[in-house]
Amino acid sequence: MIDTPEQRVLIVDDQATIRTKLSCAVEVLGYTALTSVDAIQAKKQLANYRIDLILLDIEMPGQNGLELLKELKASQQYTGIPVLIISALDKERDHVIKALELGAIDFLPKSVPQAILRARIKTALRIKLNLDRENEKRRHVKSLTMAAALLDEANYNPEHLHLESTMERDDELGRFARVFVSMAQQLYQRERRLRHRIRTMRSFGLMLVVGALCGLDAPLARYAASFDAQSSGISLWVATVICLATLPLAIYRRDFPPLSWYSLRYFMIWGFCAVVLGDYFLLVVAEHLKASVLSVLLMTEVSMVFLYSWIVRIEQSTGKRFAGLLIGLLGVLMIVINPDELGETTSLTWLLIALLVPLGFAVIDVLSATGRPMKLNALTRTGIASFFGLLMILPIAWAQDSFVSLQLIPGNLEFLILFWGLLDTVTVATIFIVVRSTGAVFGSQIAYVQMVMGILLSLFILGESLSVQTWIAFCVILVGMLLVEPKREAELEIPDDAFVSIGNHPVISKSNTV
Amino acid sequence: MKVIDTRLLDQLKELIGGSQESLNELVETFLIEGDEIIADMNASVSSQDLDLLRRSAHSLKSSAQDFGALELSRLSASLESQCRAQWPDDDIEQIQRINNSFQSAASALREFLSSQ
Repeated sequence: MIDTPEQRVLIVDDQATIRTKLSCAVEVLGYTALTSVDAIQAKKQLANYRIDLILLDIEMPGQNGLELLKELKASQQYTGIPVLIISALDKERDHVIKALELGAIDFLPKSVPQAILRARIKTALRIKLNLDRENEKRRHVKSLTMAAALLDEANYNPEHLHLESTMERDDELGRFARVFVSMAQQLYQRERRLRHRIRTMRSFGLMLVVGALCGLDAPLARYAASFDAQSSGISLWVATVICLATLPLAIYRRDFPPLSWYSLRYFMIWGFCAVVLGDYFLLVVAEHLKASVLSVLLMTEVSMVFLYSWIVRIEQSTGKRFAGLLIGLLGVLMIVINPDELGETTSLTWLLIALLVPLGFAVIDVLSATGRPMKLNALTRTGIASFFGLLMILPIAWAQDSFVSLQLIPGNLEFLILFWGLLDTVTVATIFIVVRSTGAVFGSQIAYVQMVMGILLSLFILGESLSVQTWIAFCVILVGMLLVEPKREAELEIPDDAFVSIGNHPVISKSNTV
Repeated sequence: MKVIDTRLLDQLKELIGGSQESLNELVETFLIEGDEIIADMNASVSSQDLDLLRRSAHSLKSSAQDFGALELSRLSASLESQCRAQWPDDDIEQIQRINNSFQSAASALREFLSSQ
């Protein structure tokens, strides 16, 4: 609200005697007097101080009083400052009339009695005060109108309403603003809760679909092992399919990453994890392990992501989550030490190498969750990463002389490569979206669904069987994962007491009134 | 005729809050500025600057009225009025008369202040 603090009167007159006289007279009346010898100095004073009234002489060297008055009244900033002209009406009638026409509120005789001076200054300052109050009220009404427009556009965030100063008012307008903000706050919280629920449900849905698709990885790798083709050769073609499926679209949409060392490192790591670890190593270990065992091992991705998140503290770590991690590792250990599941080889080496595959997926989860934001489509990211992965797998394929020649008339191998490439394209891009919006630990739980799907496919399509010990290990790992549990909040809620009071005024909440 | 109308001086004193000290300061300001204005009038004659002569007469007219120097105010008002039309014929003589009146007023003001 406007109160009446120090009120400043600016006296503009080239005569030192008049300035001194009026300055003394103004100070005696209880106001602060500032003086200027000409228009230039007056404008400086106006720029430096909040002025409430100007006493302006007409006859001045340089820009005279009438010219300065005209300039002030044309200025949006100073037009509200009342101006009293210092002049003798009898001798300068024309000038006084002109000044009144230009916007001066009154004139002041040079030899003015104190009573008249006091009355005219008081009147002028009262006009200024009323004008300021009216302007402030108009500004607050405008703020309320703009806030209403925002609510109309379903923008309920109370911080966007900018009604803090309006709420400080002691009148009906202030009360209205407080009620308004309080209602907006309730609407906003309700909307956020709803949005959070929708997002969580959508993420769960996406997780189920992507997990099911990822579950095809281990059986597909096992199936690919049945072909007379080297793993590096198949990986090369899978990466090529991903590039062909994504990069032309990225070029068409001009969706390019920024050229920086950070981008290069980001895509090289992603490419290595996705193509070399995620495809090539998966194919290599699939020749030596059952698809069902491989599926169980892939689930350790969750534990790896949680371990990393716990170490760098990007997500909340609790004793319960940590216990879940240890139990999950115990389950993996049960498989590793079980000779029944070692398949064609008796070496533990392949089991340990197989753990590199979920490690690669875990790194991708962490990269997606913590990577610096880039305005880049998820498909484009997948394509660029695969391109770098392709460049890395190329020398391996060359060294192993394992380039796979595809037939013009597509057979099973060609369809496998095409299907796998497209599957990888969709799943990697979708995982990025899920992880970006729900967090690395939550997103990595795609591996749960992936494991269940992988085991089911292995059992019912590939005709594999699991030993009792492996089933127990599977249950142990599942218990561990349940303890790790998803990241609780995809988006922070506004605390209930965030808008309880603003300034000295309580805000109406669900249960109380002002 | 009295050189200074003391009723106007009393009115001025009331306007500035009744302080004798402030009045003394104000009179000193007027006397210093009055000398400068008369110097400006003489300079305007040398440079034939009609606007400077008119503004100088205008300034002295207003201040003299405040301090009760009515004769000085009248002479200044007359010169200002003539300057609105054209350069006054007896410029030197008028400025001389104004100067004499100012000196008399200055003496009277100092005498008045010393008697307070």
